[in-house]
Amino acid sequence: MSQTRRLAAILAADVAGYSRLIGADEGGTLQALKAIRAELIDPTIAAHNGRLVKTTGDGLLVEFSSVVGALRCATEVQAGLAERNATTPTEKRIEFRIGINVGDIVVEDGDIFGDGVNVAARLEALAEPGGICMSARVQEDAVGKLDRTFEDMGEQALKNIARPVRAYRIATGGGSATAPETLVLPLPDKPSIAVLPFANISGDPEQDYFADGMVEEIITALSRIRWVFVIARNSSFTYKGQNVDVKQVGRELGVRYVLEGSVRRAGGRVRITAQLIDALNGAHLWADRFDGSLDEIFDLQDKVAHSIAGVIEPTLQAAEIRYSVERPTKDLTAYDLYLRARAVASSYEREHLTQALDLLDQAIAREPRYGSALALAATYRVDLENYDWADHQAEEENRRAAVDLARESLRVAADDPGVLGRAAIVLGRFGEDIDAALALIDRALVLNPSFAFGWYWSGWLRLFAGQADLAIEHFETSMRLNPRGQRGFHLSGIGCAHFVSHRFEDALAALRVALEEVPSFTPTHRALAACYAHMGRLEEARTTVKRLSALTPVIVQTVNPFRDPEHVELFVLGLRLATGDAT
Amino acid sequence: MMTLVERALALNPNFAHGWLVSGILRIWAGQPDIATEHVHASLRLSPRAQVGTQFGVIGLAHFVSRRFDEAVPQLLLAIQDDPSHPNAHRYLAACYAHMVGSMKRERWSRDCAPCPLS
Repeated sequence: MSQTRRLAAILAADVAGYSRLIGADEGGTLQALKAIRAELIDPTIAAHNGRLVKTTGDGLLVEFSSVVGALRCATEVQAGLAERNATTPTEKRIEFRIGINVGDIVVEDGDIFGDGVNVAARLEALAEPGGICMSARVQEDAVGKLDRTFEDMGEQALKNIARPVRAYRIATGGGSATAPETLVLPLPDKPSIAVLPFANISGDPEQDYFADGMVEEIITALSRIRWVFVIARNSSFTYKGQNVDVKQVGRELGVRYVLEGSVRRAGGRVRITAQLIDALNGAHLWADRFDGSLDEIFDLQDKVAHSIAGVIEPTLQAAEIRYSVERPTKDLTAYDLYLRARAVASSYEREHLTQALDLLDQAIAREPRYGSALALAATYRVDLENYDWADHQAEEENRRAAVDLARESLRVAADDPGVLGRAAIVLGRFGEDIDAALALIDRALVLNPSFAFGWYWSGWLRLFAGQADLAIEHFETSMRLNPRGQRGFHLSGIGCAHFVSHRFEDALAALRVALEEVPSFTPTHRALAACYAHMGRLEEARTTVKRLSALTPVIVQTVNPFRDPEHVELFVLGLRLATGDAT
Repeated sequence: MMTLVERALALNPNFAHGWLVSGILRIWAGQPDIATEHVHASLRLSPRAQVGTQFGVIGLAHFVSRRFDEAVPQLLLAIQDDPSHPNAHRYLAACYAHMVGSMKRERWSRDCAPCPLS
């Protein structure tokens, strides 16, 4: 008796429901099995250099020197059986379960033994009829070499095997193998995303480094958005080189959204495409492409990463708001209430803002330390100010409430860029220390440099502080980061910045577009009227004032966020000229 | 040390490795339950990476809480994922030794406790 050891890939297969088939039609089943062996199984084993070790009635054990060979054999056998079964009545169909493992085996008199063999047999029992189940070692060896997607089944405790084994399966698309759509990991309670490695379709393996580096930058940039759950690089890169189904990735990683993309190269230029997909239903939420030169590779990586992270934040926010509104109203969480408030307030109309504040009050009542809700409520009070107040006491109360909310949000969540940004704009708008407000917004942008809204708020704060040119720069950065967002508010800010710099023509150009895009935003009307007045175009100034008075009784504000007295003077004088109060 | 890692996680709550480091520090600080929680956060953020260290820490948390039966499977998973890591072997050996000890104690109490030794 000779006993040797060697490393091998082991394939174990058996017929699903064998006793039922034999019970129903013994002769027919045995004949069919014989035909399947002779026509399909044996030739396929031979084609992949396998050795049939033994048969056990309804099962067989095969040894391969190559993992890929074993797996190819398995997929071809399953595909062949599926084809046969397509034309066979259901009760006569013969389906195999297959398990594959790789490991050390003991060979004695042609038979094989050992843990490696036992694990293969146990994996086979885990497989669906018509399916293939394998250990993690097999999956690792086969990734990228087989045009199949592998589904992680997690750690499995196998009978009589001491250690749990991580198992994977491939759906073969044949037989009755309907793998149950199990959610391996539950979705987190905030929007969750995985960024898959971008496919390098440039034909140049060198571009792999570029593509991988860029995806890492994107993951880092997204990770800084605190309200988003981002899968770590190590896990999303396990899909590198695989042709995977986004829905499956969503299930395996327990995320709702998946970002995927590709890199192509032509000469010294690269084209990067990216798309954001809802993994629950496969819907495309956003897609775009970026072109750049390979000469400035780090610049290009940075640019693309920040552009993508910048645009994804508002896109995810919009998707989450949409889904929240569709959810039934019972059992609303504080987060649902927060999202609903955002949905209601998106029109910026007065009564909608009031409703949104009610919803936020409920959210805060449930979670008093909910920084984002506190900060959002504070900014909606700023938006209410947009409509001005006939009642000065109510106006003063609104301001005090806003400042209190902003300070409370900072107290509970001072490391959240979203909270920092909102608190900064509220404190800056309502006359608190402007340097402190600038420091807060700067901190928000250090924590998340791709924060499109942060740059927008920074624009206004710079403008309030008298730094008009820097303000324009920041408004433009914000628009670049979120190119599909509403631009009216940004253009209004840019118009105001030109106005206080006495560039009236430039101001006019920006303000007129702003007015068309967001006709309810009163700062645009005031700046436009004042601008026309200073240019001596009093007729147009008066028309603008008329439109403004349809929105608010207050034309010239008594309290003004601009800290530079010259800027205040420019607004006030212009508006007085427009209303005819001054000559 | 814990302040540093807390700061890192405040800045980037999606930092999977940070949660693991925090878990290890919590074990050292004698807070095995918080350690387990933080390691789970790390595993959730990176469900497909190597998990040997993570399971090792969870196993150790059970071990120091004297839940030897729960520690063993976690430590076995850790060794399966990363057989070269000596610590998981150490904890497992210690775990088995304590289990043998407690079995001996159980036997002693079963066989001898009825005797009016006191």
